[in-house]
Amino acid sequence: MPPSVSSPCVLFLALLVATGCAEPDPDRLKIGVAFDTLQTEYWVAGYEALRADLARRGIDMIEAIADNDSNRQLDQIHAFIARQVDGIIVAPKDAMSVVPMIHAANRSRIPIVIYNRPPSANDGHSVTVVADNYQIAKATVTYMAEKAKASGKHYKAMILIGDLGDINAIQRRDGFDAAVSEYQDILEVVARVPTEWSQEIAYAGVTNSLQIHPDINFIFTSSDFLFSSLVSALKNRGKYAKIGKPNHVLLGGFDGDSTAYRMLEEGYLDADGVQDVYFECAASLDAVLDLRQGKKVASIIQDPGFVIHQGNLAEKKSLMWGSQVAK
Amino acid sequence: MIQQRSIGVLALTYAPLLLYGLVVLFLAALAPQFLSVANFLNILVLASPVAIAAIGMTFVLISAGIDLSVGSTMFLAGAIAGRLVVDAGWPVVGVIPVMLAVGLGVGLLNGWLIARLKLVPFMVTLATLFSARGAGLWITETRAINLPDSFRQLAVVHPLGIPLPILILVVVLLTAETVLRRTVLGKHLYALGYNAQGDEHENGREAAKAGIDISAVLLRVYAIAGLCAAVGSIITLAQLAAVSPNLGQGIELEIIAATVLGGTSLFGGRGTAGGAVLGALLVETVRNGLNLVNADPYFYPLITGAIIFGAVLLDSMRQQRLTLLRHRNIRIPKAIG
Amino acid sequence: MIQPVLEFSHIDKAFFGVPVLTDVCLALAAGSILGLVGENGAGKSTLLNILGGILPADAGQLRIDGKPFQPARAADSSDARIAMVHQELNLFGNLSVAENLSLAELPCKRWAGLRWVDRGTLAARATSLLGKVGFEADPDTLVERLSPGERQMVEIAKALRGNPRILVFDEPTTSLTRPEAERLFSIIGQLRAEGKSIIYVSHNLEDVLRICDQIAVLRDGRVQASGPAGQFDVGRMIHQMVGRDLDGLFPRHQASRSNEVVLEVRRLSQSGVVNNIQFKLHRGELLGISGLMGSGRTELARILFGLDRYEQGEIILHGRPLPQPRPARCIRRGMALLTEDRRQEGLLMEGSVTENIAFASLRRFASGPFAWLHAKRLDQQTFELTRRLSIDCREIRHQPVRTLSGGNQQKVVLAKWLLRGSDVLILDEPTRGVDVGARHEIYVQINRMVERGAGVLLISSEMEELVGLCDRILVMARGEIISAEERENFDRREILQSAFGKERLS
Repeated sequence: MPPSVSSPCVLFLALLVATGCAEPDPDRLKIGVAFDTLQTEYWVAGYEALRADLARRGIDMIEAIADNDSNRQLDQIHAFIARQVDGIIVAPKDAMSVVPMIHAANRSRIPIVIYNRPPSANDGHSVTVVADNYQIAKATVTYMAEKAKASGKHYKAMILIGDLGDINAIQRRDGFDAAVSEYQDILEVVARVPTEWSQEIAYAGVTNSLQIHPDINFIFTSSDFLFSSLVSALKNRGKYAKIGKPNHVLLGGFDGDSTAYRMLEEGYLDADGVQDVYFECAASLDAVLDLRQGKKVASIIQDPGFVIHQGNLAEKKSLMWGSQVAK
Repeated sequence: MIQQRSIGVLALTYAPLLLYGLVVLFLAALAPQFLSVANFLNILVLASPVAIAAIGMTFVLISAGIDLSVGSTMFLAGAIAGRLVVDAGWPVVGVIPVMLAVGLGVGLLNGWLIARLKLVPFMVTLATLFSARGAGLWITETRAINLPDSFRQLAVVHPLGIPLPILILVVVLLTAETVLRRTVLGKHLYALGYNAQGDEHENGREAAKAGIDISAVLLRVYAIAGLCAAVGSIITLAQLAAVSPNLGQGIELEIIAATVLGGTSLFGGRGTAGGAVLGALLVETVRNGLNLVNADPYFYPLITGAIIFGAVLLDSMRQQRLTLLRHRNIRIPKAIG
Repeated sequence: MIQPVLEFSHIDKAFFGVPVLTDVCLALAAGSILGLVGENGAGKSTLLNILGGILPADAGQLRIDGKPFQPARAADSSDARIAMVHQELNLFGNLSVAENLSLAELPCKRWAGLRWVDRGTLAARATSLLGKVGFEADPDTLVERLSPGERQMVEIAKALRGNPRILVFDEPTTSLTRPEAERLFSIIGQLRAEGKSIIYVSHNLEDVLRICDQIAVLRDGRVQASGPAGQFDVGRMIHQMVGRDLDGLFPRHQASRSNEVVLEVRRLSQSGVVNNIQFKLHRGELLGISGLMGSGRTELARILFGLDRYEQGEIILHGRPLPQPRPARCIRRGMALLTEDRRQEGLLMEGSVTENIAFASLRRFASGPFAWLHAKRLDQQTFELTRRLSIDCREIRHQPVRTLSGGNQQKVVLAKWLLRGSDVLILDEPTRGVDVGARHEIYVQINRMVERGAGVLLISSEMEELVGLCDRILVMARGEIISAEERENFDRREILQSAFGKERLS
């Protein structure tokens, strides 16, 4: 390209950018982000990470929170479509309610990415970005079990199960079961406590189970957000102790939030399965933009996550989103 | 040959107690560890927040109203307490009156809207359910707040060898029961909820004719419900040592179910605080039993559904029985002879 | 003449331009009983509401002891020591007798910011008030455990609380059995002896004649006649109330009893309610059931109509047994129930007259796969029925039944069953709270149904009604049929005696 042609172009582009900074540019990309809830730190962290990433890429973010109401969320998606957004990222309430949203977006040819909660089988086109809940949970529990095996003792285990309507909760439970099944000689699961993702129910369940099995010494919670209930119940029984103390209970969690980070730092928590929020957000955005340009994108992008534990804490903590929130 | 009360009526009257006895027997047979003083105390402690809120709900239900906002009130009180303790560094003792004031405030707002503006309790408290939760989410920025250990001490201390939550429950229960039985407010409340014709639209009309200040009674009733919710919130916070954004979410249904299970009628005019506590104990005992026998997690929602169904069925059967009794005048009047 | 305690002078009142009271002048002498009679809608309730401070008069004056009295609120009236004993019982079943007696002003002590009920004073006050009406009951009894008669006593005791000088009884005997009513009259007499002045409103003209000193007859908002009770007799009162003579209050039907049995009951028992009931009801027969309240007569009607269960025995309708009666099945096979409690069992109060009449017969007016309604034919027939029964309403298609008077509501129920073509009728106190004129029309309609071949079971507490209308009377006491009398052997005293189970009336 001869320079005589390119320099006016560059000048033109520069002008464009300058005017774009002064007032909202109609050509600037708009992405609609609809979250079902901001009820836990995990969702807040994901939301904030998306916001930061979008800002960095110079894309406008249109926000919508549905407060656990899937009808409201569908309305919000319709509103996005009416405003002719360039892409939609949605964290739905459940697998079913997101299907009509996918269809609506498909009809208007707007790319849609499902964040963290996979939709049930449907004939629409969408991309789902989700943590590999099963593998991360399995790896976390396997790490705990190895540690248990090394101690040479016999262990009684308890799991806090999430809401039974949440497929992620089910996969984490299945990961737990898969890991435990390989250590049947040293591990016996004596309590499966359903929590419905509620701290009160979790607290009551743990208290009741500790009442009948005071010798439980291996606990996995399907979400870090239940740690406060778990720790309170353990403290009441005098069973909350640092690693290495004789009354320490092997503890494992899932998510990678700030409470888990602090417990790791202070030496109470043995292992935590971390969802890589930064990876998930970047992957979601990449997927939306790729779809918009007509590129092929795999329909499921899995966040492999990782297990953080006392052994790799220093090395991995910067990747744990909870460590950033905790600052 | 004409009996005054059939076995059926007796059974319905004492149904909560019978049901509780059955559940205890069943669980004792299933899990021998169930029958221990420690486990019973454990159930009492765990049940105390719901039981205390249910005592407040009893007042509301007797007035033939309903309060859906108690769960959100618990959350709002907890949210404010959490921010004060964690961010403003308030001592726990200073936070407790604030929580009570928040509960009282929400209750008074409900009462004012219902009593003075004559709005329907269901809609008013549904609105406060959303508003109070919204306010709480705004205050906490939808983040869980972890409370210092000093808060947890409330749930752990054993004055007189009894866990504090149980002591609080007993004090609230005795106060409520004497207020219901022995005060002008209690008597006016029962009259207000009594509905001679079985006609919804006439609720309270009779009471107004009898010269009762209905709005004054209603205002107090909802204030009491709010206050009780706040007390329940204090105990919950002490147990969890945390305020999560879904604290108390949906708990209003459990509270209403417990109250109705204990013999308080959704139709108004009937109920006791003791019954509410029994109902809450029943719900918690069942959960304890399920935990104890390590039941399949999918079993829990089924049982919860069965409990709510049972509560409503019981109430409706009782109501029908009473209507029948009112129809029948199966006594030869003794004054005439 | 001595100064009257209370005077109505030239009272006018109109609702939306329709005059309800016109130039009403009445006087109540101290220590006397004034009987107020008139058809429903004659203006009695309006007059009482003006006295009670619930409605203002448009013109005219009330005077107490010669001084003008203008009650603006209910409280003004009670301050003037006027007390009302209402027809509907304003008692709270879930509270005790003592609490009901003092509900608005419970005696209390303040402590810890709460008003605590002073139970000693409460009980003492209750005992003294109950003593005045001679009713010995435990003040702690819940009111819902009392019989209607006992509740009436409590209601009167409640009215005596403010030591009133003027007492108004509005239809006090409607829910009372005869002996309970007698008891009430002796209390009223006693109150008069204490110098209280009483206004007594009732549809039972014989009672009015017996207990009142003065009688006033209202018709269409005007005082038609007034004077000492001695100047009146039942016939004259009826004439003045309805403006025409009725050929006797109780017309006899012209049907003759056929041998065909339409309803047979064999050894019917339900423990605690009825015991070993047996009878046959023939086509063209009007069979009466007498008994005290609580004798099981209403319960029997409910069982026959399938509203309650029974343990033993057989019910045979039109020759076929009815093993487990349900109301729907009974209606389909031609049975109908009409009760005193129109609100609970007979009518949809918010529905229109037409809707209510048509309700049980919709199937007859429907055809086709979608049960399409022949609205026009339905309309015609219901309209004709309202005319034939002279149901008094403004607009039969839209006016809710709730707004009709008791007598007209009862006629609507009758019309419903007439349209349905029911031929086994169970009537439980069909004329309670219904005024004389409407009552007569109801009797005529019942008779017409009998004449057309229906079998009618008439349950009533009013001896006159039964004796006047029925072919046969069964007497029930304590859940059993004690005796059966044919028309030629009717003897009031005997029937009453059986109802009391012989030993109680000596």
